[in-house]
Amino acid sequence: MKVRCGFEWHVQINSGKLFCRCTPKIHEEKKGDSEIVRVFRPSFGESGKIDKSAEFETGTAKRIVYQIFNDSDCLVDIDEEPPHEPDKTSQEVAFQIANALNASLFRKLIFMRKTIVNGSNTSGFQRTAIIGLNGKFKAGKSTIGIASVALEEDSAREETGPNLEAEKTEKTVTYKLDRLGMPLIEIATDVMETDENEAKSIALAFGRFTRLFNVRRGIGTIRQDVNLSIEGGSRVELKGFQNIREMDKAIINEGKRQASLIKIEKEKAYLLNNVDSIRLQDLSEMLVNSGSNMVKNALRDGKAVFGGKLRGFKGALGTELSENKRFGTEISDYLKVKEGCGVIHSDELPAYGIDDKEKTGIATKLECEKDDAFLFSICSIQQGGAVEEVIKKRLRELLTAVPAEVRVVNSDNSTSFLRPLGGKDRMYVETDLPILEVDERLLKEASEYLGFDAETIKEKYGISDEFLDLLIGVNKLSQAVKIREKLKLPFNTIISVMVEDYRYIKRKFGFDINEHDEENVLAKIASGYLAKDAARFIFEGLALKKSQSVEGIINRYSLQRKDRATLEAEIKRLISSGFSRYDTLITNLRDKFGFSFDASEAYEIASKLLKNG
Amino acid sequence: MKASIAQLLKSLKLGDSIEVMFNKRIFHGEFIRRDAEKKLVILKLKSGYDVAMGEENVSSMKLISRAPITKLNHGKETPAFSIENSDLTLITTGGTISSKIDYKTGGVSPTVPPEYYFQIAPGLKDYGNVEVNTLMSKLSEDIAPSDWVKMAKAAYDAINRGSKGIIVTTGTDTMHFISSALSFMLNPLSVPVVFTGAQRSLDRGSTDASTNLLLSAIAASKWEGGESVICMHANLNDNYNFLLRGNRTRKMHSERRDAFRPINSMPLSEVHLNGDIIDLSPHRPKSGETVLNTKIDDKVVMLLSYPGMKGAPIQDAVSGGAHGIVIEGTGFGNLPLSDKSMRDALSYANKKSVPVIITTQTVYGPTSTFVYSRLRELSKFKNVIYVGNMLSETAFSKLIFVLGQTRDIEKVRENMLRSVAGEIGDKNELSEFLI
Repeated sequence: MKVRCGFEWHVQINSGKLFCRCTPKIHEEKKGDSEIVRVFRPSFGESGKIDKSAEFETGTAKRIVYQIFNDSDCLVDIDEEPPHEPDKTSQEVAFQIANALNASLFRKLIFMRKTIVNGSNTSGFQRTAIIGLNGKFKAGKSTIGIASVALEEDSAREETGPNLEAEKTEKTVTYKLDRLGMPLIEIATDVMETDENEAKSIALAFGRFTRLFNVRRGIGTIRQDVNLSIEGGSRVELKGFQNIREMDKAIINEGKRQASLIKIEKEKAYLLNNVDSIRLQDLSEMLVNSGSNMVKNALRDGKAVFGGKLRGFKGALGTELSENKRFGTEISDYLKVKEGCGVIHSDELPAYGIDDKEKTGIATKLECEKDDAFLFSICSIQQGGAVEEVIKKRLRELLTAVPAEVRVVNSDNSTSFLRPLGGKDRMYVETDLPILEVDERLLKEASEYLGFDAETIKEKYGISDEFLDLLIGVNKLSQAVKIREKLKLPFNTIISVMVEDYRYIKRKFGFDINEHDEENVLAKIASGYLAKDAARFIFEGLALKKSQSVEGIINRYSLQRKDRATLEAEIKRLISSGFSRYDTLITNLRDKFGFSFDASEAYEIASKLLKNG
Repeated sequence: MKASIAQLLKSLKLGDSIEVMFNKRIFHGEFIRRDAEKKLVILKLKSGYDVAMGEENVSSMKLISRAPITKLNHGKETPAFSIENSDLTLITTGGTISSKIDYKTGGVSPTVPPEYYFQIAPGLKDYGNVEVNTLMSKLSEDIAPSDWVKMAKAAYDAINRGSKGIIVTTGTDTMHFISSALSFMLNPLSVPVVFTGAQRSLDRGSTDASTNLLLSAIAASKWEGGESVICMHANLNDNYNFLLRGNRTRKMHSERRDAFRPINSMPLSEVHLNGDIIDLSPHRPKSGETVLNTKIDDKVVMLLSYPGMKGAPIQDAVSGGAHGIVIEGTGFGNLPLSDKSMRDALSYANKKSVPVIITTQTVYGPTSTFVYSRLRELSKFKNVIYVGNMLSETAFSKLIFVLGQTRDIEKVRENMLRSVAGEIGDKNELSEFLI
């Protein structure tokens, strides 16, 4: 299917929070150590206008509960302290990526506040700065224009669970603050003419590309938004792709939905004239004994049913837009977000326990004629008027053009209304931070990443595909490249320590060797102070808490590398006392010298001596 | 930079649409400003982002179109929003709660139109007709005792016109000085005078101004006390505020929305968003009428005792014409008296009949003149007055008020030590610490 599409990628940088010195830590199972409650009000964008999406959102969620974690949150995270200076590592990674994408860079950064009032940011805005514009990204054969690269803070995670649903209808939303403030790099591509298959392959290629950098890994660490439209349609921002591998399906569904809406607008434009006359009336009394348990129970709980006639709409509400989505669903989804209740319409009946007889009863009550449809909604008694307005507003939108809006991708790859698109009214300057003059040295170091991709790395450093994959697999490529440059060690030594030893220690002790210790050990190997074989022994020592430092382990076990002469003398002595097999030789050497020599060097010496001997 | 670019930059105004060649690529956007010192051109892109372009990398610049002309209301104070028979009066004086960001330049303008408060706190109008008096636009650190007088008079006028509750918004830094001062200038009070402000700016959805304004309106219309009180967040939640006695409260944190805490006292009440007011400790009831007394003498100096302090700061204050001094002593109210210059300076102040009020920099707890012999020595000076558990800021405001009535040392002492608005007490309860 031909679509116009632009990507927005959000990738979490593997570092501390952007504007405070907390370490982000995702708590999947744990509840917050404490909670606070906040009330959100509409805030004012440029020239005092309330942003469309901001206004919409304050209408939906007013009371926000935040779960705070002592280990990952501070006063900055609950908007009780101004931001600190932006995290250095985040700046490094952001500029590396911007360079790799050949973007035109800014050396002075202006952080902006992007208004977000769904409560996912405690301040009511997200801080973001453009670091580069006009780049390009190579995905297979095609080259994609990169519109902008920005450094920003991540939002809080919405806490979802069955127990929270009840509260949510009362306009309370709960967020966990562990993710808030995590550094993100946001990359927006140009809009391109493409199809669902190419779009998917671009997304996958981009995912692989980000792994060349010091970014976070795992579920939720890369989020993709896709701006999508078809000819005659409108820009729809799709969020929340669960599985990139099924992106093509979601794109097809959304394309179909837009195409079906365009068709309805063309064929049934006259229906627009019938929207104004829609009047909902209270049907509660007649439905007390409804065949639908949902309706009956709601009425018993003190709710009401409001329904009305839609003149000439028969068949239209049931028109399928895409798989599992009908025209009526569009109204229902919208109303759910806005008022917390859905609609049931005549085109989908009989269903939900409502039989033909009851359906006819309702139609008669609402004075429906042959071509008319009806719908009703279960909501509170006070909501009736609002529900009517929302339904009419949505119908007008749907019958005029494909509404430009933000939609969420569901698990079946269909899409549902989330909120209106935000405009530039939601962006203004962050007054708590001065213009950031990016460190010259940082810029210079990052400039080495110009046009950086897997191919250039392989070429530049003479690294094999296998080693590249191994380093990417443990998310240490950028660190390894840095070490390689600094210490001039061969890649196989680096791999042996940073991949093999790292994995071994992690598997055996569940212990993460930190980067600093790894570099320290590699530097000592490079200078000849340690044997390569000592590395794993040192890390085991650290994992078993034999000492807190690499130096402590070295001293405790006398690991300083034996010089060649000492090693050779001992091997000679062993050979002269009758040892001639390599394995017993090494065992004896280990008994005497521990890990202060490399087995490979001992082999080499021994084989020379034995050959000449 | 080319001369032609420099020329164009001089003529550019905010919002002009321009095209810039920067780092050999072309950018379009609105001109925001030029930072001459850092040699930057700030451009707003269509996406809404601002970017800073180093002038050395700008190789060409073109004006595409001029910004549309908008009418600006420069520097004019918004007139009072006066309503006949108003129920509540909102007196605004500036500070964060009345500051608005210019979204284009990032600058902060000190005045907002009266409607603005109703936009931030739509619930305000549920508590009756609210008139808005834009009295001044100052940051609270710039508010002087002469401004306190203006506020007291504005409140008094409104009460005389029939207002049933007064809300005063100020910057938060010196709010507790002001609420103290008004507790003396408007004494007794026939309606509540409720001070509030904002710790977080108004542009953010999370601003505390909304809750503070709304809860202050509830307090001003429904609370049964006749006192000058501060109504600010009780904790970090936007659930309820404390009503705190204006002369027993201190800003105890630079940022947090619950910065205002009761000192050596309990909160008077809690005010909840659902309109409930829960009384926590006795308040002064509304009196039949309000009495205004704005005679003050602001020649008062405030000093902090510090290790190695000599007499000079006191000496200088007296010879500089101070009519009264408040010194925050250490612990019980100690000063480094082993230093002769200190003793001499106190004698000099005594000779000049300048009262020296001693408070404690521990913030909590009273001063005491009996525990150490040193203090007994100090208390021999008849101008030295220990004010027990009165807060330093309150002592400062009160001394300014008292000196406006009399400069007779004995009368000053008597007035300073007598509770006129609940500002000083003999009883220090266990539960009053670190609330």
